[in-house]
Amino acid sequence: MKKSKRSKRVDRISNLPDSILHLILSSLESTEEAVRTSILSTRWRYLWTALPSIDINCSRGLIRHMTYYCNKREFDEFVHSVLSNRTLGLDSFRLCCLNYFDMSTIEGWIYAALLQKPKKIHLSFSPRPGKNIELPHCLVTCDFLEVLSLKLYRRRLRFASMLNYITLFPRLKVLELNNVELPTKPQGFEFLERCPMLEDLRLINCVIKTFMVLSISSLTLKTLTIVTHNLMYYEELCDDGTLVKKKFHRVSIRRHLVISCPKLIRLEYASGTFNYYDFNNLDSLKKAVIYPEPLVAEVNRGRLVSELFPKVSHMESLSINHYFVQCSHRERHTVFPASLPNLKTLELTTTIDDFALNVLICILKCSPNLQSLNLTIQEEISMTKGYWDLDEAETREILTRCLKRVEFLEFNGEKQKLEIARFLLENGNSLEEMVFSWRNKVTYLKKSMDTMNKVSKFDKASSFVKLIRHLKD
Amino acid sequence: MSTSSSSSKKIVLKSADNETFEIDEIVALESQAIKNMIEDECADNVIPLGNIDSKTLSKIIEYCKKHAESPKKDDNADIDEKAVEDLKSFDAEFAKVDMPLIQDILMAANFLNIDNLIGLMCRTIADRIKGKTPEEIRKILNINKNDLLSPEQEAKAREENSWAFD
Repeated sequence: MKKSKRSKRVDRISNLPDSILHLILSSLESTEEAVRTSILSTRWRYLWTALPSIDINCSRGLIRHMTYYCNKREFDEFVHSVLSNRTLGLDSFRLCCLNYFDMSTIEGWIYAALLQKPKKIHLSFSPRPGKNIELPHCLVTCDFLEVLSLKLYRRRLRFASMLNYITLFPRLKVLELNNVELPTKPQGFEFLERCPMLEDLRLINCVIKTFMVLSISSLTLKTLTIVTHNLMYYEELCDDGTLVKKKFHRVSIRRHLVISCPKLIRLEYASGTFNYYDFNNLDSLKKAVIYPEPLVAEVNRGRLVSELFPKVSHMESLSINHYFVQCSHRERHTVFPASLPNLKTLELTTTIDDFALNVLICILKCSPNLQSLNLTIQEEISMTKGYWDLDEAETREILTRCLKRVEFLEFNGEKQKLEIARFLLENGNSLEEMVFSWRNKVTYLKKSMDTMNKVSKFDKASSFVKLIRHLKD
Repeated sequence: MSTSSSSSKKIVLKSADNETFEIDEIVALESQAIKNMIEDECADNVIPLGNIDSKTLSKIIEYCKKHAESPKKDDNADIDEKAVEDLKSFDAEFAKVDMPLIQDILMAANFLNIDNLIGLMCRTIADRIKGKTPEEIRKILNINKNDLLSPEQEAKAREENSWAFD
């Protein structure tokens, strides 16, 4: 009964207002998929032309064909067709064309896109032939663009030519450079000072080839992110458009990071790219996430720590990794400031080696106003001489005073870790959560319940602590 | 229907098939349209919804209840990550219904102006037509057969953006 009623039902979807159908099309994966709805019926014929975002990726075409063949003429025509057949303003333009096109073709698309006045542009390309990339004049000077993201597959951007302009990117707030080779000359990044609105700079997986000083100096910047996701490999494009992973060379040359940004509020550094640091004018900094990695053979591992702490002693939130702790340990007698008076939140990834505890206690001792301490305890990586020694009452008091959350990574029911857990539960009277992330499915199924039963019987100083167990991945 | 405390104000909704649903006002306020009616004081004790059947309406109330009791995203305060996760899995479960009901809910949500629910239903529809051929999509969405492009028009549309159709 119901079935027959439904099969006769009218085409209700097509009667919905355009705005709703646009929402459906916007939820499709790509612009080409939205364009394919143009042949569904006359109602759907031109709906796609009003979508606020364009997202075209030539590699999706490659997957469709199951071969690395790109019909360049059709692709070029498609990009231009999508950009010229617009019935409403464009908000965001995203294009990935790997290394199939030369710079003049790409410039043609950028020009066509800018006619639609988008606020955001994301481009991934690596033009042929392989020269340095110069951004077109129309892009550098356009006065409506707020977000620009460039992924260039290790090509070098010609920053020097940008110094021909007095003002660059007049409205740009966010600049992301992804997999770009950074300039080797000290003045290479001076263009930043000519971007009057820039608030957020992200250098993701960027590389440097030779000796260099990277100087990031800006009066407007509020957020700075320097992140290298994979420290072992980088992505490079082959001639046929396939992506290959290549291994980084370990080299021990001086790579100097200079930051001078008086309005900077948030700094995230997770990379092994640099080994010398100068931090000036970081008076506004509130939150720092510092995850140095030992990518380059370093002669001066403590430099980051000794440079950072005195300059940012007013920060409110600090996240550090285990390597930072190791670096700090070497210079623990010199690097720590007398006080971190504003520090309210400390997140720290550590092992349960005794030296790590020393560093942690050092930082806690100079943080009188700390409110929240989150500990992530990872797998031991060093051949440890000893575990956390928690016999002293002072150590126990300092460690657990603000302890809110503890997570054991790669947990496998180890006796030492359970001892630490027992101790932290017995003493942490503001502890809110203790998480056990098991790494091994077999032992997780076999032992985790027993272990949790054991843990739940420990004395607890905090009445509201939650015990959580889960299997990682 | 509702079992929550009697102190809060109640709203009664009446479906097309004359079934009534008593719900807390806070739940009803998830609908911008009902909110406007209440604010303009043109809502009587019973709000008749002549174009929404009881099956659809009870689904919509289920959705609004869950979302009304979850912390709002735009509160700007610290959002509880677990609450967000919980809401996400609720939404995913909620959307596991057949296409006619999805369309009923979408039309009703559009009428009642419930933004989140409109978005959820649109994403669900997009998920179901992703990667499908035009013929399959027409069937899934029950596109009007009298509204199809002529062969010439279709050939032209394909030609204009041939890269997308290859």
